[in-house]
Amino acid sequence: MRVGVVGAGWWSTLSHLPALVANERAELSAVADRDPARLARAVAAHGAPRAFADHRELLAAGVVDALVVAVPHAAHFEVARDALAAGVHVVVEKPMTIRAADAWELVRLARERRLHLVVGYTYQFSSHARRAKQAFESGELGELLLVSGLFSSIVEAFYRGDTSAYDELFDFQLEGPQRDTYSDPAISGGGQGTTQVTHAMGMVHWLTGARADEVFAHMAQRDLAVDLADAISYRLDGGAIGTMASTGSLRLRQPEQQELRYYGSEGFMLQDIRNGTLEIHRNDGTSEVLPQLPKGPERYPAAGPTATIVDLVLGLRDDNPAPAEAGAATVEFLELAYRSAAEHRPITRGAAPPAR
Amino acid sequence: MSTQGRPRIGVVGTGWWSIEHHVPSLLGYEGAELAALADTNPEKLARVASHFGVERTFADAEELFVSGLVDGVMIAVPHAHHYPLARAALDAGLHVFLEKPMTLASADAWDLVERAERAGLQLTVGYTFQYTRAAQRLKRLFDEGTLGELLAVSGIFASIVEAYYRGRPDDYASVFDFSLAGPDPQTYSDPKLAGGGQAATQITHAMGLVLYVTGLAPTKVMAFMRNGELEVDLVDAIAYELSGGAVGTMAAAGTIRPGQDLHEEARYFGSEGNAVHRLAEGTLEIALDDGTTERVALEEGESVYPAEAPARGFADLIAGRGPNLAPAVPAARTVAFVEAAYRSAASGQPVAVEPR
Repeated sequence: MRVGVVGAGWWSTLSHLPALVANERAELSAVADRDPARLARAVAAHGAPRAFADHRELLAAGVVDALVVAVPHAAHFEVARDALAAGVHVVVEKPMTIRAADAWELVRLARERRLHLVVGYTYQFSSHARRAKQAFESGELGELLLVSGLFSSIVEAFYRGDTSAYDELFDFQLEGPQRDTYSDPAISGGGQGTTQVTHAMGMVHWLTGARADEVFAHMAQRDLAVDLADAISYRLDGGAIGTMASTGSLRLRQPEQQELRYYGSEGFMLQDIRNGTLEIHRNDGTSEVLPQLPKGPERYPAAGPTATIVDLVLGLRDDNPAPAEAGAATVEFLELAYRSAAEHRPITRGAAPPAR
Repeated sequence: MSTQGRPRIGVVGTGWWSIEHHVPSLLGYEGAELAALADTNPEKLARVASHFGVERTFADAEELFVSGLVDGVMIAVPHAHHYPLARAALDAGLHVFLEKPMTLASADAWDLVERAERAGLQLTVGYTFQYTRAAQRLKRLFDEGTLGELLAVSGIFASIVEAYYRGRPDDYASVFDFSLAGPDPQTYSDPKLAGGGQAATQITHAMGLVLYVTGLAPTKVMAFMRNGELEVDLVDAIAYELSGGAVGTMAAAGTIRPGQDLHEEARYFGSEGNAVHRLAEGTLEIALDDGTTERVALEEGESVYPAEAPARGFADLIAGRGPNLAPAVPAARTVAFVEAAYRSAASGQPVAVEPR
């Protein structure tokens, strides 16, 4: 199956391109990037037969069955929309889009064209995430009452446009991030919310299948142009309530904390995505403590999104652990959170701006 | 004071917490004299007095206050009765230990603070966690500014309380020792007596600690709460802001069952490092941006919840032997926080708190 990649930046060159080259059911058929030097480096390293400066030229060439969209956040929508409109299956990086209306438009387009649309929520491709999803599908936690989320991570330097601060953390292969990718709100859509809370709330929306009815957020930017620390409380449709605390202020070598806890009327589930643990404790006295996932691809299956789109298209699997509906619900949640922080009041979903 | 080394202490309220902890703690301490007991229930009062061999008893606490028999009183009665009794005791010139939550209304809490200050009397609140080494280390961390500017706080308090809210305390006879007396069914289930459920009874612990160690005041609170079919709140999801601009979340559930683990944590993220305080485990992990780490672990024989410490601490405080580890100002701020949370949940809007 022919897969193309738009965006040859740090995450593509670190994850998607090598994953596609290693995937025997996939053929890396094309790469596009607007920066000729970056494009040339990616093509030389990963051997794509076709290279394009623009995603529209790539789509017009008819050389891909699926496209991976890994460009700065603000450009996700246009590239993904054009791909779906051209009848191409899509993996779109997180956050799916910046605006909720755009995300739901992608959902609509994919449904209308009967195309697969996978969002790059890497954690959702682990075996623990699959078990956590089952816990909600089986109803073993009873009615969901409360979700508590914490996502602390090492990102602040990116928000400052300092892209070399974390060189020891990420094994950047060909590229580091561009200065403005995460520091310019016009390109990133925001800071900790858009870039990091999206991971945690992406998981919550997927597992619960819920949408936020009401969101309230306090955000702290300090001297940055984007939010560094967020404190969010919310209510989901179905009635569960939740909190989400997140900060990008951790420094190199400090342990990141990425934990979600779900409390239901019949039990609770503790999901530590960073440390790869999952525990389910039911009120009937039974518990399930899964073995800790080893560091690496089992805990953080970076090849999951590309492998999944290939297998979905080939009919080798029918489940999508990072579906577009939950991705759009997450964009919607963050849009409400940013509006709430700006307006200092809770925002209900009905009061969100209408789709354009 | 005739009994400087051995302050004479009266205990008001001979309910389960008093007789499990405060009364035996005082009786077993040579630095204090348990001089009298008071309770409005004559049958319970007689039974407890006889069990512990306490001679002087009062059906009317105000008679105890003016009896000249005591230097200070410990007040451990249903929440709604805290304020009038504490006020009367202070007005009678007695030092006061007041159980948590200090009062239901913040105006009442501040009134007690002022009365104690004016009269030069000690006023301390029953926040047992604050007597632990981990909490004291955390307090010192903030006093010395080691974490830098506080950015975010993430809190969770999931505990075994639901049966209390249902008016069925005997469901927990397997976890708590109710051999002499259990809680009255209405103490925690009747909102007029309790002031509320999980926030009044449990979040007060967690936020009491946050506001004590940070020394900060809440400025804005947005709460979502769920009662289910109860008359009081069972789960709460709160986002808040503190003086100085830190943001925080507090998630709480009373749904944990006997035999399951408690989740009681506060995590603090500052501009110079972070700290993870696990209250239920008695541990504190500090990671500073300069690479320094420190871990406070529970020592052999050390309790995560030293329930005998507050009574002895109160005696030491009166005798001038020890510090006030649970001072009234952060406790009053905690009352203001919880009060704002209930108002927010009722109105659906964030509630501003006048910083004091």
